[in-house]
Amino acid sequence: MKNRIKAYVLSTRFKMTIWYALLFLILEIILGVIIYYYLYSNSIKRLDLSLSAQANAILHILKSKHIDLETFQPSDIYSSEEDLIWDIIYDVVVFNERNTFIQISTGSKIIYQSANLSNIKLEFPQIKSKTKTFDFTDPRISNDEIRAIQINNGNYKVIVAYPKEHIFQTINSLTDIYIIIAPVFFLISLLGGALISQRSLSRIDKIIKKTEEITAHNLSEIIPGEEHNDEFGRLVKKMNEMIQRIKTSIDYMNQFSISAAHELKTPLTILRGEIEIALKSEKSPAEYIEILKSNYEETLRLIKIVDNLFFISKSENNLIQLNKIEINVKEFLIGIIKNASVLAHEKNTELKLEMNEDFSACFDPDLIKQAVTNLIDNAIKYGTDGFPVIISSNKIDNDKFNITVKNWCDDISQKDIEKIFDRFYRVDSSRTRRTGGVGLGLSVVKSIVNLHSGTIKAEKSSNYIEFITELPLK
Amino acid sequence: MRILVVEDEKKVASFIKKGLEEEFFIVDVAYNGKEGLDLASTEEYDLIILDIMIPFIDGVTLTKELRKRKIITPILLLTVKDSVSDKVEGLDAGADDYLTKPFAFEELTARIRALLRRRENLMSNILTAADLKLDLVTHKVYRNEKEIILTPKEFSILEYLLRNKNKIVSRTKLIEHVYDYHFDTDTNVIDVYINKLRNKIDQGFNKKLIHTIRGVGYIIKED
Repeated sequence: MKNRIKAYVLSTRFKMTIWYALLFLILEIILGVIIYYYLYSNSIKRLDLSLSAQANAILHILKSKHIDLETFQPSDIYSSEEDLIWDIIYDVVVFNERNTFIQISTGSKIIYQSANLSNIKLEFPQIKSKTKTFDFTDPRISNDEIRAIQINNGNYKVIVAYPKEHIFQTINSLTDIYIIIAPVFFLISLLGGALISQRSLSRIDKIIKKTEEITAHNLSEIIPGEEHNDEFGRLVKKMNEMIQRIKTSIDYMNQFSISAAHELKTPLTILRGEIEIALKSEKSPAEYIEILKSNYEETLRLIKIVDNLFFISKSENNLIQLNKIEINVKEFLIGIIKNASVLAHEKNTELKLEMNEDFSACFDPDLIKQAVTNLIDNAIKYGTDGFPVIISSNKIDNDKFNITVKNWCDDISQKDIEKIFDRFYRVDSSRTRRTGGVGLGLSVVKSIVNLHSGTIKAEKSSNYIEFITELPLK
Repeated sequence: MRILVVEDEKKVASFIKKGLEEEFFIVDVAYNGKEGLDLASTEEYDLIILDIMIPFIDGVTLTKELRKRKIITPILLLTVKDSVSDKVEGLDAGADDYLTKPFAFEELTARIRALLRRRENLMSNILTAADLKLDLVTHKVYRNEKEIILTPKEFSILEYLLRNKNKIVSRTKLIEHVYDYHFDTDTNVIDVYINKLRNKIDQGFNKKLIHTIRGVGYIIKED
């Protein structure tokens, strides 16, 4: 249980959920703060506007009516003080439904206070400017902060104040609701995050499960989910492609070892069998010598097979260094043909060189010699006895030249031609063995040509086959 | 006992032939599937050793073809192919046994003996008639517990007669099973060997084992 919790805490799913939720929470807070401050400043602005409008209105009335309460004289507007007071009460009751505090003074003498101030004197610091807004608290008139505006105009000083409480009631209730709702939303975002990550990551779990099942023995299986065209789908597709590549190289390695084993088994069978027969009963010295000779031949054959295998393996792993030098192609080919003519004579075959022009090229002479020798050996072995093997070499253009080896033979199927360079492939499983060759010759040729960045192909007609090698001149 | 070896690798065919001849077998060699099919269908063999990868007709196809032609001679496949599927394919084609190269020669001869025993419902490698014993492994022959020295050809003839105990064996049949196909059919040579065998086996014993059936051939009987 503990481990499972630990695993969950460490999982991407958990981290993703937490990130979702945290991000959501931060957004929630930012949004709350923005809304709060927007509403707050807006309300204050509106309150200030309203307070200043009221104060200005009072000033305006005072000025326009030229009232001097200190030295009140009955006039045509107010016949008595009562009229004036009623007018003021009317003001307070009808126009002051929102409990605005108003105080009017000249110098240090208060000439008017709204009724809701009930003789409490509002004191403010002296100001130089004409208009000023304040926040102040006065427990005598309100528990809350009060917003006030003071306007100085000549002798008059008008103060209009209003408790913020009333205006901020809405903001406060909004904040309350927000404080209750925010954690609920946070919880919902946690759950939602968990659900979303669960859903999206469950495919990762499937991929992991299937990947665990795949070993070297079942590489043909595929991870499901390639059909989705999203990140996971692409991941699965790429993983399947990787598995396919691994399978190809493992198959190749298996084929290599199976083929190598097959190739080695024939000389080993002969060695083992001949030695067993030799030991079975006593033989004459001549017989022993014959057996030893044969064993020696088979040993050479084994060495050649191992050398070829080693060469192919090295060339495939890019471990071979080319020692390119400039060489006259004609002289080079004549030398090779001379060496190969012994084998050709045994098969009653002639080696012919056809070259139109004399030219030089740059290549590794040891390796190309081996390649051409293998091609000629191959042509002698599989060619029809008594027909010549034709070797030719020509410049193709300023960059390339070719070396071709052509021999007459029975028709070979197109399928065989396509596989002819495959390692260990033999057109007729037994032909190479009967002629004492090794099924690796053409593979070695291909490796050498590839090392020189050249190409090799086999072309056939009904009665001959031609190996065409193209190599760079430089 | 006459064995056909179909093997394209000349050296392998050669040492098998040599080794089997030392074991008193008579061996014919074919170097490809066509030759093998011709020999197997025209000559009489007690066993065929067949390589799978041979030219013209491969070993498995050849096995199928022989079985189709009602040739029931035991077939032992001998090949470098060692996968289970290859073995199954070969045995299902009608072969009786499968041996992979490189093999131990002793194992090859043991398997050959086993295949020959099974064919004749023999329980052991010792053939008997009354107090005559022939050991197929050591190639030793005893009469009344006394060892009798035989030449390979004499041994082969006696072996064939004993394998067909109580059955009449014609001279032609004997020639077919104790000579390879290079032998020019001359049945008189059999009479010469039978005489030699009689001198070594029956002389000095009351109970004669080798009997002549006039105009037909020979038989080994206990009574």
